[in-house]
This record gives sequence, structure tokens and C-alpha cells, in this order.
Amino acid sequence: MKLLGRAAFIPLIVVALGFAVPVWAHKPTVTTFTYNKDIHPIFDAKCGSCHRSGGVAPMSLLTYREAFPWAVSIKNEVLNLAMPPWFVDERVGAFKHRGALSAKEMDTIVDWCLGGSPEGDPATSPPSPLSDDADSWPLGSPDLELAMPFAFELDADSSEAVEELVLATGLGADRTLRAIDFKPGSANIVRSATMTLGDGSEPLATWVPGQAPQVFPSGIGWRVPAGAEIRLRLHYKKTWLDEGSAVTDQSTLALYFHESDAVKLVTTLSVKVGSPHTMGKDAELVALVPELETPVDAFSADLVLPDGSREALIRLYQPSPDWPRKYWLAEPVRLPSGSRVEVRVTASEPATPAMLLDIVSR
Amino acid sequence: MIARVVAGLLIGMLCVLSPSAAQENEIEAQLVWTCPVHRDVTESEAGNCEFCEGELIQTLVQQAWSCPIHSVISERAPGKCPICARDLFLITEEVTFACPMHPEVSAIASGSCPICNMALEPSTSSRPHQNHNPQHGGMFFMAPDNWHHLEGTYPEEGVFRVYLYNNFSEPLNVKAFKGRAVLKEVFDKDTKRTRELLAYPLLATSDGTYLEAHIGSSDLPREVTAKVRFERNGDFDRFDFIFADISVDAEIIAPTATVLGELVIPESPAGIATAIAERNVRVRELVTAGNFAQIYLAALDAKNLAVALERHVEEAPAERRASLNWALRQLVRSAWLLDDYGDLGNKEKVYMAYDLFDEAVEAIRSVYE
Repeated sequence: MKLLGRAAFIPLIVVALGFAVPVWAHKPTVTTFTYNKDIHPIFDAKCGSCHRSGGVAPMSLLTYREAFPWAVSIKNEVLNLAMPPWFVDERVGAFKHRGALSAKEMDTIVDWCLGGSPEGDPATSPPSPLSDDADSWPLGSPDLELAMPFAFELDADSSEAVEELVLATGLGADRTLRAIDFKPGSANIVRSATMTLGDGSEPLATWVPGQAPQVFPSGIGWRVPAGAEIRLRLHYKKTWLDEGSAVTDQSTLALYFHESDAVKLVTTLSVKVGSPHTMGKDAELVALVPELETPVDAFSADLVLPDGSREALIRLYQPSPDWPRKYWLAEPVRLPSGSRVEVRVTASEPATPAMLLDIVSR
Repeated sequence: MIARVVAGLLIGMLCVLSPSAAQENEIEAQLVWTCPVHRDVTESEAGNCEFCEGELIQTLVQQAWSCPIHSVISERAPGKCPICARDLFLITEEVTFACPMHPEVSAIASGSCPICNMALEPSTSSRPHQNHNPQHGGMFFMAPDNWHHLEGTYPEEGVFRVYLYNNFSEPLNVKAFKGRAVLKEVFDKDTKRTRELLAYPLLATSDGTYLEAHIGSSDLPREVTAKVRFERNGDFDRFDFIFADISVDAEIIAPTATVLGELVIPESPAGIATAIAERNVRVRELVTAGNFAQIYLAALDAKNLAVALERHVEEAPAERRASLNWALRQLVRSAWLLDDYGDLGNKEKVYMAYDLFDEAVEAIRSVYE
């Protein structure tokens, strides 16, 4: 305990009297960022598709009261690159729907988390998050809407389940898919969905919460034969908010077709670790899907050109099977005849994941 | 992190001292809720302590200037210590108003004693983590429990000493603690464990002032790892020291807060990249010298420069933008990790974070060379 001269304290006493009502009492603040001004716009854009009320994440981050108790966890998740889940080493390739934080966003979040997490001016408080409009699809009315024929129940005693079912398209003629979208029936338990055609070896699309509709690049499509069936694989997982209660889900798939059949068709190539694939003819790569059984440290695909030069197609850092994703290239990459696609994995436990390549013939 | 909070408070103070804010003197003191036992806890609202669940009490905190080694000094403005003439550095302290006659009467605002009606007098007391400056010319780290602190010194050839402190940087009697000085160890990949090949016990002096190990003579710099256990049956925490010179008790390393300068952001992207590379030289020096607790200053400067450079990414050649974005984000990330690990004095983690930092700086430099 240090006693100070009284004179030094005159200004402080005056100040202290002003504190009879702690109107602006707060944790010592050393950050210039506030939730309302700086943090909410980032959370809304980069985290809010899951971390919202009724979302698949166990906590909403879209109001100050919901977000600030998690400040330490948020800082750790962001600095460990665990959140938001994107995994792409951006030095390699260019992909659509970039999910990573920018340097400024990351810095703002960490600074706010460590610096007292102030709320800021309530007058500039963000609007309450809107609930999803259950009846609308971002791409407009689909050509074919396929709902699950039954409601799946994740019972009170289960916290996680994987459900596979087959949806009959009932198409009378071959059609070419232009885009695909997915809408969870109960957004609080659907962690991911994978849609495959036929025997299940060709994934049409994957869905994780917050993902935009999957639109094939212009002039490219996926042949859906008459009478085709679409296999839907759903990963359900409860947060603690739903522990002990049964939750049902009836999700819906939306398909959009090309008007004409004069488009290049996509096929899927599966390349496993240790088994490189040599291209028999020229093709273009439009998307990549890592197919993982377990989390790994790193997973990558390289293109070895006929002259021996090597070009990285994608490098994923600590990807997880919990976040299946189709990585769409910003621009298609040419795979010349005679070139070789190789995939490599780094993992502490033995793992032989496959990389699926969506390609079109040239 | 703690060091960074102190620096942040300094930045806050500079804002207070700026002319525009000079009228708003009340920013100098803030009301917070804290736990009477766990003074680290500061909350914006009433409630219970996250550690002991005890009820939080309200307290008033203010900024003051103190001496790195004479903690009794508390001044309202920067200057020199009246005892030793060292530069003062910024701290926060708690303010209470107490009755001179009835010590049980304590208030967070001025007034009079309800028993004897005497005017209450203000007094200040320390808050935790305000002074992370070495007290004996060594290197000062914080334990992972955020409560214990430790200073290692190399006062003479072959002698390694460890002083222990509480979260107020007050000396602790070391007799309650166990530790050893590790000079050589290998990492066994099969068992994923570190095996010590050469270690000496850290023994308490009879008066409990410090732990000491005689580690034999060798050329400078000396690298020593202290492994200290703070809780009975707890794990041993590691602290990595590199002594470039013999520690001299009288020569206290300049307190961290006073060397924090105002960051000037160059106008051109290439200028910013150069400024980042300059910070990297400084960070590398500190990492190499084992001066981990000081790293955050240059590291956080570099990440602020990186955030500024991000505004210029669109001016970079199109094919370099993706990797520039990646590098800028990695720089921000690794700078915060260096800040965190530097406080803890964990060499392995600091080196890991520095590898990321250096890789990011190199990638940025390659865009602008």
C-alpha cells in the first residue's frame, strides 16, 4: 500500500465524485475497437452463417452480450486458424467463395478480444439478425426441388448421426445441371451434406453451413440422366443447447438445369495418395473436393506437366472431415494430355485420403 | 499478452495526454469490478469471480508512473525515479478512500467516515502484472498459471539463479518451490518426450531469496532452461534463458513501456515493406538473444505495418496478390503468437512463432524487392 501526497489527488477526488453512478463502468480497455463499430460487421459476414441464434454453432456471436464472454476462445480459434474453417494455403491457386479472414479482420478481432472487448456506442448497435426466409432460394425458384421424403429424428439420447438416403429425381429425360443448392430443415443440427449421383462415387456438391449455392462456371454442367437418383449424405450433430431433446430435420435440395444441352460436361476423377493419375487427353480442372476420413496436418494436389515441371493445384492446412467442401477454382486450370496429378498427405496417424477432381474435356 | 496490455495502457495514456483529450480527465480513472482475492479479474459488471465464485467488488483504477525497481514510486506524470533516477514507466493502480482512524472503512469515492466523520483519504495499491521488469539484471517471464513470475540471472560464470515473484512482482520465498536447471536435452520422437541429458538441481538459499544451480563453466552465451514446479504434484513449467553476458544487478534493462515509440507508417507500399523488414531484424535479435519478453514491441509494430500494407494489395502485381494476402495475415497471426509466447519465455514456442513470422516477412519482401 502506497500513500500519496494529498495534493496529487485533488484532480482524482473530483473525478471520483463523478462516479457515484457507474454509467460507463467497464473492464480496463486498451483497444480502440468496439463490438458495435468494428467487430459485428466481421462476425456478421464471416461467422454469422453458423454463429447465429438457431445456427449450427453452439453460440451466437451476433450480439454483444452473446459474443463478449467468448473473447478468449475466439482469439485462440482465430490465431490457430481453426475458425473460420477454410484451410486453404492461399499462396497456391485462387478459389471462389474465399472464407479466410483478412489480416485487418484477424488483427481487429484479436485486439478486441485481448483489449477488454468493449461494446461501443449502443446507438450504433447493429440490427438484430434476421431469421432466414424459409421459403426463398437465393438463385430463385428451382427447376426441381427435392425434399427428404421423411423427417429424420435425432433422438433425445443421441448427439450425432450420419444419415444416407436416396432421392429420386423422376426426370423423364436427361438434363444438364447448372447449379445446386441445399437448405437444411433444422439449421441447428445439420453440420454438412454431400450430394452424389448414381452409385455415390461422383459428388455433385457439398454443403456446409453458410455456403453459397454451387453454380457451375458458365458453359459447364453435370449430366443428370433420366430417372437418376441422388444420394444424400447428412451429418447431424447437436450442440449442448439441444442435449436431451429430440430434433427432427427435413432438408431440401434445389436443382437448376441448363436450357440447352450444348454445354461441356463435368466428370469426376478420384486420385489417391501414392496413385498418381496420368491424363489421357486434355482437360480443364474446375473444382477439387478433399475426401477425408480423419483430420490430417496437410493435404495437397500437384500437377506434374509432361516437361517435368510441377505446379501446385491446392494445399490444405489441417483440413477436417467435419467441413467437407468443394473448392471451386476462380479460373479453370488446364490439365494437358500426358500430365500427372499427384496428391500428398501429412498426418500423424496413417491416412489415405482421396482428392476428387471435377474436370471437363477440352 | 500482459506486456501488450501494459503497452496498450500506455497508448491509452498517450491519447489522454493529447490536447484534444486533455479536457476529458476522467478517462484517467475507471470503475471496474474485481475479485478481492483474484485481482486479475476485472469485469464490466457485478457478478462472481470466475476462479473462486466469490462476489466481485467495485474498485477504481487509474494510471500512474512508477519506477521499474522502486514500486513505491507512483507519480501522476512521466519522469525520473526520485530514488534511482531511472525513467518511470506506466502502470495502473487501484485507488481507495480510507479513514485515517478506522482502517476498516474503505470506499471507492471520497467522502467522510461513517464512524468518526473524518474526511476519507485516498490511497493507492498495486494491481497485478504491472511490472514485468527484471529486478536483478536478468530475464523476467510469467508462468503459464498467470500468477507466478520468475527471473533468471547469470551473476557469475557457472552460476544460474532463479528469483520467484507473485503476480504483483513481489519477491516470493523460494523454499516452497522445486526446480532444476537443464543444460542438455533431446526430443525422443518415439515416446514424444523430451529426455534430459544434463541437469542440475536448483537449490534454495538459506534465506529463501533465490534458487541457485552451479552449472559449470562454459563460453558465453549460456543457454539454460529452468524447469520449475509451482504447485505440489503439479507439472514442471519450462523457461528458456539465453545469457549473452554476465547479469549485473545494478544494470536494469530499460523498462519495456518507455521504449514504445509512436509508429510512423510510410506512405509507399515498398516503404512499409522495408519498415516491416527492419522490425524483423529487431525481432530476430531479441529471439536470438533470448530476450523474449521484449519481442512484442517490434512484433506488434510489424503487424500494424502489415495491416496498413493490406490497403495497398490491389496495387501489387495481380499474380502476387494471393500470396501477399496470405503473408500479411500470417504476419499478424505470428506477431500475436510472439507476444503471447514471449511473455511465457518458452523457447520452443517462440521459435515456432518466429519461423512463421520470418517466413511472412520474407514473402512480403519478395513482392517489393
